Amino acid sequence: MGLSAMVAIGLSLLMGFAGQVSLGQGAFYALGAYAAGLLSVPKELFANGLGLDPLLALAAAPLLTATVAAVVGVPLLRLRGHYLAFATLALHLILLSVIFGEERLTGGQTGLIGIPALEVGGRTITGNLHTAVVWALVVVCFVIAQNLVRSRAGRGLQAIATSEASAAAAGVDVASYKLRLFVLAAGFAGLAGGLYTYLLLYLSPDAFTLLISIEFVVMVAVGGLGSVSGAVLGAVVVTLLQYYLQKFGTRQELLGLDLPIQTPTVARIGVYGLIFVLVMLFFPRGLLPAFTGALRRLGRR
Amino acid sequence: MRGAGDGAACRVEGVSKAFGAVRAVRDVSFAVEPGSLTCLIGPNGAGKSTLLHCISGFLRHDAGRIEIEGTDVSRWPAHRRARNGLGTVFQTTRPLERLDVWTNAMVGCHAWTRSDFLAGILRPPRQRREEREIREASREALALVGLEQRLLDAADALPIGQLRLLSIARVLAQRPRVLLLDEPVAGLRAAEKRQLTTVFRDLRERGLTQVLVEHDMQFVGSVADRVIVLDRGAVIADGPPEQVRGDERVISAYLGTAVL
Ligand SMILES: Nc1ncnc2c1ncn2[C@@H]1O[C@H](COP(=O)(O)OP(=O)(O)OP(=O)(O)O)[C@@H](O)[C@H]1O
Ligand SMILES: [Mg+2]
Repeated sequence: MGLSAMVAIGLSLLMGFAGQVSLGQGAFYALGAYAAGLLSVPKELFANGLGLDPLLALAAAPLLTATVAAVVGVPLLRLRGHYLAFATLALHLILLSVIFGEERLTGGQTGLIGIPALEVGGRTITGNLHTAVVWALVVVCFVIAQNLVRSRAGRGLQAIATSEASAAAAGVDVASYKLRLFVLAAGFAGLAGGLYTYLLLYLSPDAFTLLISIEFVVMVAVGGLGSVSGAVLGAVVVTLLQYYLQKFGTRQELLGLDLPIQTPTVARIGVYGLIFVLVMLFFPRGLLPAFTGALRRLGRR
Repeated sequence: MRGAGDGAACRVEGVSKAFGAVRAVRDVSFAVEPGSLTCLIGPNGAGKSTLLHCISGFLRHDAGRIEIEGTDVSRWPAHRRARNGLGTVFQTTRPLERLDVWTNAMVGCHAWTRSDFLAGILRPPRQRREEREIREASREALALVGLEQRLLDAADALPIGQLRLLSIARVLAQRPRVLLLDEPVAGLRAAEKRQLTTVFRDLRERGLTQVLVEHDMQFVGSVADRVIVLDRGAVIADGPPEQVRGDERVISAYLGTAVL
């Protein structure tokens, strides 16, 4: 949940403030996860592992992810609107095919095992402690995002969302600003991916399907575009829903019917579509603005 | 050619711009004196907006040279021109709807401030000082156009006349030395036009160089020091408003449109 929130915060900057829809945040999440995994897995357990200290690997994950974003962002961000969305989606597809195809590098379909646990000062970061660390870092990302939004650069980014030409007319270097934000959002996703690696200590490509990229966009849109807290709320709501659906969907039978094995996946996709449509119908500006608006109306009575 | 010598605030020399077969601007030359107010007029499709966009850098001209305060900016991207004292207001501008009037004006301050991503995130004292300066400067810009009462109102709540004022406040917050405006009074009511006329005269008093594209001849006559008439991409007349009004080529270019 916290991991999704971290990715969603970055994406909300990109989508909700600068108006750049990315359907590829899942790719950066995966990249961060595999970077952390491959850097820290010992050579004895996996030929291409580097066996670095997990803490170092975790720090490197967002940096590597951001670097990749800086490179692919240059051509990608020339695209606008739907084109950008599809191109970033394609980026995710390419990454998946690399993960599946380059078995010797990534462990392929079988996954990457033997990742050592994250230790800080002799304490192993697992379970509740891991959750606490994740949320502490979510807070850091949140503060970064909030500060950025309320700064000169943040205003420049919001001007880009309204009109790139009028932003440039005010002196905003549009291409460079878009790229820098893309890199920052990718960094958040990479950090979340790295933290995910040290949650399970095992990476399977199945955790990084296209669905997660869509999931992040749904979280941001559901929570409310143009609000960083909305993105966190969206992440929490969507993750909770998904958790209960998973429980519901993995039952062997429903109302006396035998359910096919694909039910959970199909249900998930269907339900995202459904939440998305419902929220957009009833709260077109997202849950958080709708909620604060209602509070304000109540307060006025 | 009338106008400034070497001290021109803005100089256009042999500028041409074509869109495919349409030669929107053909070999246009003029120099604008610092502190003057020049109106660019002409029938629909004459190439006024195209020329303005070439000067501000949103279109790359095919031939010729554009100088701002003596510097050749022909190859500069639009944002760099904006950071060097050139302010542009488009024919249609949308505000940042989710933000208040004040923040909208602050966007203009981008042109002369420096704090970037890292400074915005870490907020060192230098950045906070700059933010205070931005708030002050944008408030002053809003006061100049008479919007200081609406600082904290949502920008999307403003009526069209005040939105136009806001876009002018935003460009003034850029602290431009040369200002380009595309049809700033189009679609406004008489009272709003009068208010803007006062604003442009004030700015002229303050020494700002202005180039306005405008259709409304009454407005042009009341603010302009000089009028340049474009027709089918070329300059057909250039001089003080009274002189241009009587020019035969201008009258025939406008024949049937009855604006003069
Ligand atoms: N982006 C473009 N692509 C193709 N043709 C264009 C483009 N912009 C302008 N034109 C053409 O160039 C010519 C000049 O247009 P421009 O908009 O500069 O005229 P204008 O004088 O501003 O007219 P108006 O008074 O209607 O605003 C017109 O024939 C127009 O159709
Ligand atoms: Mg025009």
